[in-house]
Amino acid sequence: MALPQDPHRPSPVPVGGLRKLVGLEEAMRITDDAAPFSVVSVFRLAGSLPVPALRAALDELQQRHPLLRARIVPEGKAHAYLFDAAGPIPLEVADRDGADHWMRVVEEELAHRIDFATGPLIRCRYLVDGGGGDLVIAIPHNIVDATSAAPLFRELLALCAGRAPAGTTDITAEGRTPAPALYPKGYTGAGLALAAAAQMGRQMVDEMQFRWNSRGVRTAPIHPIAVGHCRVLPIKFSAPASEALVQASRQHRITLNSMLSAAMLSAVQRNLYPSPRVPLRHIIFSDLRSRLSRSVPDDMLGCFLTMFRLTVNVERDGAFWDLARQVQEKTVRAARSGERFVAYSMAPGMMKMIFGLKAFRMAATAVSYAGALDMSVSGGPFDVTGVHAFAANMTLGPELSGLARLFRGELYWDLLYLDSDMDAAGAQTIAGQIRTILESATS
Amino acid sequence: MIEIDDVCRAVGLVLGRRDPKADDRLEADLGAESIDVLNIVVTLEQKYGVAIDESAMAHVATVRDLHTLVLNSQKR
Repeated sequence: MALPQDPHRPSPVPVGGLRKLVGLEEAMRITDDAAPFSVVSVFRLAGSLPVPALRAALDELQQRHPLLRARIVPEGKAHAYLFDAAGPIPLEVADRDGADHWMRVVEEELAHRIDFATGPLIRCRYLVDGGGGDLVIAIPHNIVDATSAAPLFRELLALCAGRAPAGTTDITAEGRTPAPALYPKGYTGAGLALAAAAQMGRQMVDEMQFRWNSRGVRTAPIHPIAVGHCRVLPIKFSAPASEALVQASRQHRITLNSMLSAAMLSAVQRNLYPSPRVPLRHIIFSDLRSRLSRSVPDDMLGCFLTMFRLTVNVERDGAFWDLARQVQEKTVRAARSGERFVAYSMAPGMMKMIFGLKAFRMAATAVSYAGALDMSVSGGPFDVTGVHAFAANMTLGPELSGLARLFRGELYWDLLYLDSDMDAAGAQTIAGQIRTILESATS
Repeated sequence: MIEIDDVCRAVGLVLGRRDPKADDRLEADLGAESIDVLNIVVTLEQKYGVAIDESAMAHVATVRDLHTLVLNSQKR
């Protein structure tokens, strides 16, 4: 059953206000042109969330967030957010058809391109039955990252429960200031150009080493964009297993992000790259918010994400902790070199090059660990019993990627692969090995 | 009683900073990376014999937040 929608409902305030997309947010728009590039989040609910309460909460959420009332329109040779110009958030309601129904819906949403020109830049689907429901929300990656998604959804769930959201930040200026306008001294003007030149020099050296060390090694397949479809594979670690990971992280002084990265790299190497020792490209992510000249509050929507691409040497029989340490050291080196700012600013050019050449994959793997997530709605008519999130991928992206977080003491790791790269059985095998590798390392 | 100044000193030691203040933000003001935050947590756990809950780290932004977290960890 779908709720009636009025696409011609007037927007709450007069149409107006343009802000050009820059950096990674523009790169993500370019990516979305080729293949839908949304983040799809899932909230598994127990209890009662009536559809009218959800509809009202979505309307209120949209009133609060300028970016949820924005569209993306051509502006000269560029693209820009046009604020206060989108209709209401689409909500589709259906009867829940089994415990895994949400996974099929997530895959549909990952394949669905949100129409930037008409907006809004968000869609919602609600699968409901007598015991609860699954809330599936898709948002283009241009306007959301892991940091701002958490408070946004806390706000939505509080509104659904009839509560006033806890946030106190004034978000009326949300989306108006792009990250590069807030870069710290040293990464503006000539400073950024110098850092970019140094980064390009390092990348050229890295590329030559990568090619030399990759001789005779399998090359990742490059399929036409339309061939690959995103497939989801969520894995979860029990509370004791998750606590063991945390304790091992502290004992070895290796971040959980580096541990998860090492496990994924190792499993992918064993299954897809049969050579004894291979260099693999791995992507991890970093948040710019706290690194800017003026901190951007977490509850202000926007794309303040940046990424590091590391080349990691993976040995078939190598020690797990050596690999995790290698990932960590390369991450720290990249972070301290200012790569986060350079990568953000150069991202559109990089994506144009990748789509223009269609000659290589961005990486073999990608991992993002978002830390602990609190989605409790105390005393409300429903409870959040599980949280999942997936960022879309395409055939020039990583072969395996995954977003991870701790929720109620359990590690949720939502893996994503393309059916053009591997079948479900192959992905299950890799996921099983990831689990085994981590459990062995922490036992 | 663990004083805020003790936590400031521990943070300064890990980050190589001379005089961190209680309200300094670990990342924004002190330039800490995630590995630095991990090292600070382990240092505080060892120094004060507490177990810091990973889930509670989501609410830590400043040195003062860390101090509060250590005090709460002592009480548990």
